[in-house]
Amino acid sequence: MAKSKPETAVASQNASAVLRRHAEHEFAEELAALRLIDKRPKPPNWELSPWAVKIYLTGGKLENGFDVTPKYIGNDRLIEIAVATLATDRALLLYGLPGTAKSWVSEHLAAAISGNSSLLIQGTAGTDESALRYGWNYARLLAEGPSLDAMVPSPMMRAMRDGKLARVEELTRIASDVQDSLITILSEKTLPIPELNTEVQANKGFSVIATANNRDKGVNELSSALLRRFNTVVLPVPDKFDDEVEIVERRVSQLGRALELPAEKPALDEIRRVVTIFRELRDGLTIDGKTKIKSPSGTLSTAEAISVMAGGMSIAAYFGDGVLTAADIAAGMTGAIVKDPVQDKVVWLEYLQTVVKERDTWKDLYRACREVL
Amino acid sequence: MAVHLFGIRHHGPGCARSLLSALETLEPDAILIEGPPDAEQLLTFLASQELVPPVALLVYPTDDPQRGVFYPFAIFSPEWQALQYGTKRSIPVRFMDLPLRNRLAMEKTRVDALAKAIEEAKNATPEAVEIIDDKPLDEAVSDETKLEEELTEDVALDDDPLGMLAMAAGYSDRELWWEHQIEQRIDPAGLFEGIAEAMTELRAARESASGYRARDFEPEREAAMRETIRKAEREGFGRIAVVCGAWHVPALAKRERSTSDANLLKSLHKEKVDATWTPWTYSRLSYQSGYGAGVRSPGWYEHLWKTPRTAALRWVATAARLMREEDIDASSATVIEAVRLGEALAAMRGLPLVGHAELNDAMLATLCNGNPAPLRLIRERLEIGERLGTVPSDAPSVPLQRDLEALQKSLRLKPTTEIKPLDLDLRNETDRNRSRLLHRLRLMQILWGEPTETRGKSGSFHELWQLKWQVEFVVRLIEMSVWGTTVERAASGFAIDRAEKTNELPALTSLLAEVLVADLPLALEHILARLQAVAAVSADVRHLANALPPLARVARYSDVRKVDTERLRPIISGFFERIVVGLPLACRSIDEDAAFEIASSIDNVQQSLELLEFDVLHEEWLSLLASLMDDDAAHALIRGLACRQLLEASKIDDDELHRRTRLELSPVSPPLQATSWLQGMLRGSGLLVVHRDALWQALDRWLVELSAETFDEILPLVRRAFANFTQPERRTMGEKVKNLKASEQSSAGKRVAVETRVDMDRAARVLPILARILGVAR
Repeated sequence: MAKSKPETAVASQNASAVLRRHAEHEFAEELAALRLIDKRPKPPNWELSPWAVKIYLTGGKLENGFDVTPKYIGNDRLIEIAVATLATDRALLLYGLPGTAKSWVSEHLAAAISGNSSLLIQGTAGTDESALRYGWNYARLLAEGPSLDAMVPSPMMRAMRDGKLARVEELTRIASDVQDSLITILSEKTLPIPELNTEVQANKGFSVIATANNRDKGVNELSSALLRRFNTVVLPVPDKFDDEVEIVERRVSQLGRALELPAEKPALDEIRRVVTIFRELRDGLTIDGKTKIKSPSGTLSTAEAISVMAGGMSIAAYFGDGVLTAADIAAGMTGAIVKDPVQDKVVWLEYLQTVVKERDTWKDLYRACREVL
Repeated sequence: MAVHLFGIRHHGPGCARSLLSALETLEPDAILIEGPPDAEQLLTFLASQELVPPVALLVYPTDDPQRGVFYPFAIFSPEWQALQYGTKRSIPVRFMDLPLRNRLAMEKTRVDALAKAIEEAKNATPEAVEIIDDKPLDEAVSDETKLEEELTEDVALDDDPLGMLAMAAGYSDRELWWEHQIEQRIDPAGLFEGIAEAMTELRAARESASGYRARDFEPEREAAMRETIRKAEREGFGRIAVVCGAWHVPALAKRERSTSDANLLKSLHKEKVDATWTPWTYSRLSYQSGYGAGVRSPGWYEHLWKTPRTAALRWVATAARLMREEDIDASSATVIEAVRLGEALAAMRGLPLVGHAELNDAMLATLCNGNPAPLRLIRERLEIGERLGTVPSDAPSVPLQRDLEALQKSLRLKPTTEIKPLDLDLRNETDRNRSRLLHRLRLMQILWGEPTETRGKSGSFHELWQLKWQVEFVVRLIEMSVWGTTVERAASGFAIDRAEKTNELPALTSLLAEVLVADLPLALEHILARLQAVAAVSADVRHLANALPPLARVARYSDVRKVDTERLRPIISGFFERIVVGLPLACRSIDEDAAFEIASSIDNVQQSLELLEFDVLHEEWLSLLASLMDDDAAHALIRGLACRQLLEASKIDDDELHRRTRLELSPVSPPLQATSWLQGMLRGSGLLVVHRDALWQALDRWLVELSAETFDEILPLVRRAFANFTQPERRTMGEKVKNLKASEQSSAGKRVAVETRVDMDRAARVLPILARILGVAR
């Protein structure tokens, strides 16, 4: 088990009853094994050396034969950049489309580096300064006046005090003026408390991992002053076709079970077609690399491919004969692709005309999609 | 032992630095370099201030420059540094490779034999021709590039000694391995011994492996190198430095059997060759341009060469400056962070120094905020760089120049600096060739001939030119020789490069037009491929439509240009499909000017379709026009034009035309809109509409019912609609309108003669004056 016990209040709760366990508990064995063999220099207050943190995330076999499962499948270099960023006490911004494992990577980085991934601030439009700085216990404030005891520290303040990693989820959802209170924390590494005429200075090992979406509308873009204080790592969509097909297949059959759909498990061919279309439109290039196409305005993430398949299955189950056909997914797919009724429709039509129509075995899909449009 | 072997990798700054320091300790009295002895007389130019790398030695057969071979040198090439070292200290420097006069002759014999074999095979079994036809000829064509690759040693990963070492060390990227092992090495001691040892092992393993075949000409080349070394030894040089590709070191170390080498070299074929210096570019030195034996980042290597100690910091700072020039934020604080992150990454990856890969990763995360676009800019402008070398003006002229001179002679076009007109009749062959030459030169921005308007002479087979030769053209020719050794090749190469560099459809289309008249089939292929790729992402229907006519012309007259029509059809259909999808949207919510542009695009499509005679497309086009004609959201000009095109295609009859005209020109529709419709309707020839009574009646009624103010307002526009008709057409129309009432009344269509009524009383009043003038009595 981890040397430093997580200091959460719920630690006594029955672990098996928890719906989802923190990464540092779930993978405690792997972390312990890594700590055992890790002889490389550690930055102050780090549980593991940067090298071991990288192995924890990308997976691999240790010298003593222990197998570390990969947490992030993709480009190892990105993880190296992320870890090196935190080692230079810079803040890390994980940026990317929805569903590209940003929060997942952030949680595991915090678990491996600080042994604690629970110092979390969820960014919403309603997140105020007290969530980033500190709040007050008003009963004590009224009774005793301003004092350290009456203060309610934020996860950020706790992370600074203990020299741990703080996580900010969906940074761009937080209002701009609240975002900017991070600037002092990140550059001066201190959190002033003017009411008590004191401050909390960050201990070594403190840093911030933030995640943000680059496709959302109505978000608050980071000011360049704040952006400058982060190193940015963009997490891409799955690189390999087969990886993506596998992810979709696994998730769709899980969903089918959870929703208790009577439809048969979708044929791999149908999944391949949907994933192909999504990838091609996203990349603006056909899989064979020969034809260029325009990309629509939507994300077309793997998550959306999953929901198209799940939607198709329920249509097939409740309105069809239980077997997934092109007609069942046509409507869902068109809805996923045509987000902007004018521009995207042109893109989708052009794609149907120049690519789908030409593929011999795709005639049914072409007809089904043209009917929906 | 007085001979010192230095195995190097071409274009490696680390190697160059190590070599230089090794030379300084050794102080050799002779330097032998792996290079063509045919070019030795050119080494005198090394002292010239005007010879600035990147440059290349070009050696080519005198009567066939196309088979020429380039030996590029950059400032960081070990060979270049060795040459400079020798020149500065007046030490004899020699090239020791197999002379190209032998090598090219051997190549030629082989290619000829191959061609002959194909010919024989063709005669023997005609049905087998197809199978063997393509491949060997392709090989023959790529011969030149192959030769280049072999000369500079490292080819594919598995055929590359250093690549094999890199793989053994667990690197997938030999360049990266090399950078870590050699270029970043701070202490050069023991480097060359290490390389020699590794290569000996490698070669021994490779030569004992089954199926081993020496690379082309390797025995001859190494024999020649050994002979040159022996000769230098015989001449009494005490400390001979030999600089060669690492691969050759073991073979050159063994120099016992002297006679066998001499025998091998005795009976080789020979061919007359010439050599010269030509300027080179970093982009041709890099992998990007498909030059097999280059380095990936010449700009970075030059940087490493110039400032080895502070390379990382300076590199990021330079990148930041570049970004600022391009209006991308890049503060000094971020530069510091990039360098810090790069160092942390290097430490994590267990490297002694920050390398290029670490800096790229670091800049991506800090300076670029994760956005790879600025990084591409850095790649193009800094890593590869635009550097172009220069050569002394008294260096022998390049083959391109000679080719041009030969062409000028055979076409009897003398370059003079005075302005001379030239009238070419494209029906005769010499004139056609002249026109082609002038167009090709124009393509390379050598504006010797300026095309002028053809006046007086009708027909498209005349071209009028104004010729004026300028001295600067020679410089331009030397620059262009990077692209090829003949005018045709250089023009093709340059056009292809331009095509690769642009993402604009109009630019590509105009390039296509230039290439068409210059008659460059090779470049044409490339440009068509680029057009296809760019069209796919182009959002502008107008650009697509305007690109169609030149494409249609190629497809239509393909037999002349020797382009594969089968390849063209899908491209044209692809363009067309996109136009069909995009056009309805493009015709909506646009102003008058934009409508006119769309109208001319529609004309272009129409023309192209007429030229092509693709029936399927034509049907689709007409149905699109029909839907445009009914589309109320489309601009009225477009609706009128669609109506007109359909009328020409006889898709609407007189009744329908009457109905439409009345609808469009009804008093309800805004006058400006009606005028636009009319303008669209009346585009092109007037003959088609002049006898459509229905149109004129509706027009007449509309005009009469307009209020005086509105009439004043739209009069110029209506005039403009008629302005493009010829004089006779306008007169016919005028008469038509004049007689409109009459013809309306006579439903049977018979003409009522217009009788001229004369007022007799008024006529009588002039008679007395007239009599006086004429001097006749009353």
